[in-house]
This record gives sequence, C-alpha cells and structure tokens, in this order.
Amino acid sequence: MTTLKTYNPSVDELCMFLSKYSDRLFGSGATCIRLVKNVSRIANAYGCNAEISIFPRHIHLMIMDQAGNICTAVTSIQDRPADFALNTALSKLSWNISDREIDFQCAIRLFNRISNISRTSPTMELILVSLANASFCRLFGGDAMAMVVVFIATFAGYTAKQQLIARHTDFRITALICSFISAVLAAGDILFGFSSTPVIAIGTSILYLVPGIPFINSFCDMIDRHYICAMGRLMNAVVITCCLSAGLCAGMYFMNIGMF
Amino acid sequence: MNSSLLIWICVASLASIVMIVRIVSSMRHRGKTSETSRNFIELGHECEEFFIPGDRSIYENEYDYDDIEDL
Repeated sequence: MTTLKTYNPSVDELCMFLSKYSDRLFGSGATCIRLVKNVSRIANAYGCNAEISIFPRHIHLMIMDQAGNICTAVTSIQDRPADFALNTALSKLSWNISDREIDFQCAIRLFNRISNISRTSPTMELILVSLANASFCRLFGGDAMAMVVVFIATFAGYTAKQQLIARHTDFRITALICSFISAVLAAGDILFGFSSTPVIAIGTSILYLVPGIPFINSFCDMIDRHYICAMGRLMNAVVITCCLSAGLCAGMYFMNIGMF
Repeated sequence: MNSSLLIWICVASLASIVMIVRIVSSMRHRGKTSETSRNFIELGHECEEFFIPGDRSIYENEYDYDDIEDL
C-alpha cells in the first residue's frame, strides 16, 4: 500500500519541522554529513531545496520552494546524550518520507512519536556498562577480583551519572564527580588488598566516561570538511576528558596513591 | 583511622545511599505508572516499535514464488 501525499506543507511549516528534526538528529550524535543528507532528502521529497549551516551550538536552515519562497530558521542545539537508536529512527523516517511519499501531517506525528520514545531500560544500561568496563579491566590484564572492583566502581559511578544527568547537571561537572567516585571506590583495591592488579582496576574504573563518540564524530566531520563543527566537537571531547582526568587525579590524591 | 579509609567510607556510603534512593524511586515510579513500565528484557523486531504507513508486515513472506521467472 502506498500512502500518497495529500498535503504539501508551506515553506514555513517545512522549515519549522526540519529545524526541530535537525536539532533532534544532531543532538543524538549524528555526524554533519548525515544531517545534511537527511534534511536535503526530506526537503526534496516535498519539492523544496534546503541549505544548512551547522555550528557547534546552532543550526541555520534555509528552505526554498519552487516558487522562490524562502524561510530561514535558527535552532539552538539541546544537550542530550547520544542515542544511536534515535539516530537510526530519524534517518529511517527521512527515507520513508522520500521513498513512500508520507503525508506531512503523518511525518510530524511519527517524528513526535520517535522523539518521545525512550528505548533503553536504565537498569539494563547500568548493568551492561558495568559489565563492559569490567571486561575492559580484564582486557588490560586485571584479575578476577579487580574485575569485581571495577564492576562495583562503575556501577556506583554510572548510577551517579544517571542521577546527575536526570537533574540536568552540566556534563563536565558530572564527569568530574563520577570519575572521583569511581576512582575512590576502585582505590579500595589498594586499601584492602583485594586483587593483585589494583593499578589496572583504578585505571579502568573511569573508562565509561571517556567521550568516544564526540572524538569519532569530530574526525568524521573533519573528513567531510565541516571544520567548525569538527573543532567544536573535538574541544568538547577534550574538555570532558580533562574533567574526568581531574576527577581521577583528585581520587588518587585523596587516597594517597602514588602519582604525585 | 587514616584519612584514605575515612574518605573511602564516606564515598562508599554516599554511593550506597544514591543507589538505594534510585532503586526505591524506580520501584515507586513503576508502581504509579504501570502502563509506561518497560520490560527488563524485550525481544522483537524493530518494525514492532517503529511502524510507518506502507511498511510491509514482518510476517508476510518476502518472496512470492509465483513472481519468480524461470530462467
């Protein structure tokens, strides 16, 4: 069954929709090239052209229809955690709008539905992240007790992270606090002598905070010559890395672990 | 009691309190809004979550053998 387009949106309506779409997609961890392609695809599906300027904190969008009517919108990008499921769903929506000629009102309903669904269970995420970090400890040569220590330290740190993010705390402060908590709890391995590889436990206890996605996305944007966004993302990733390093160092200092 | 042990006990206690508060609040929230509760583990096709008009049902056969031309 093919759904026919029964309602062609005005330039203003399409521009407003695409500005919200861009904010959602970019905030979910998409690269610039994906954003440009998706927005252009949706605009072309409704007979318009789109030009988009992407900055680290804002998106400038210009939509022009075949009659020459123009609408411009500037959207500020909301800080959200990366969500690849949302990324995939929004990209799929753009393909369905283009290929199946979905009605504009239906596209809005689907976009709202996609934006409001939370797909991952926080408890499952917490357990899986803790297990993953414990696995990293094993990969770096930690023994079984060090893995247990890292699991517990990550569990506590990630719980604190979830709570702080739910209260809209700045992620830099969140990284500082969570790395401190995880480092101090992992330093209990040295304090109580649980394992034979305590240094590995301390070092791997904060790996869950490393901003891998911003680093990777910054290099992807650099390859596509979106240098402003690339440098913005790289700087953001460096700042977060500095914050978690500061938390780790503070934890090691207060636990009198020899580094200074 | 040296300072390292004291700091460790304080951080461990704080982390335990945060975890207990989280567990209690999640259990209370689940009791209040049962229609939005999520299963701990779910298995399914993504089409069951993201249906878009025009999507083919996942239970339809992908290949209709009557349409395949004999070479």
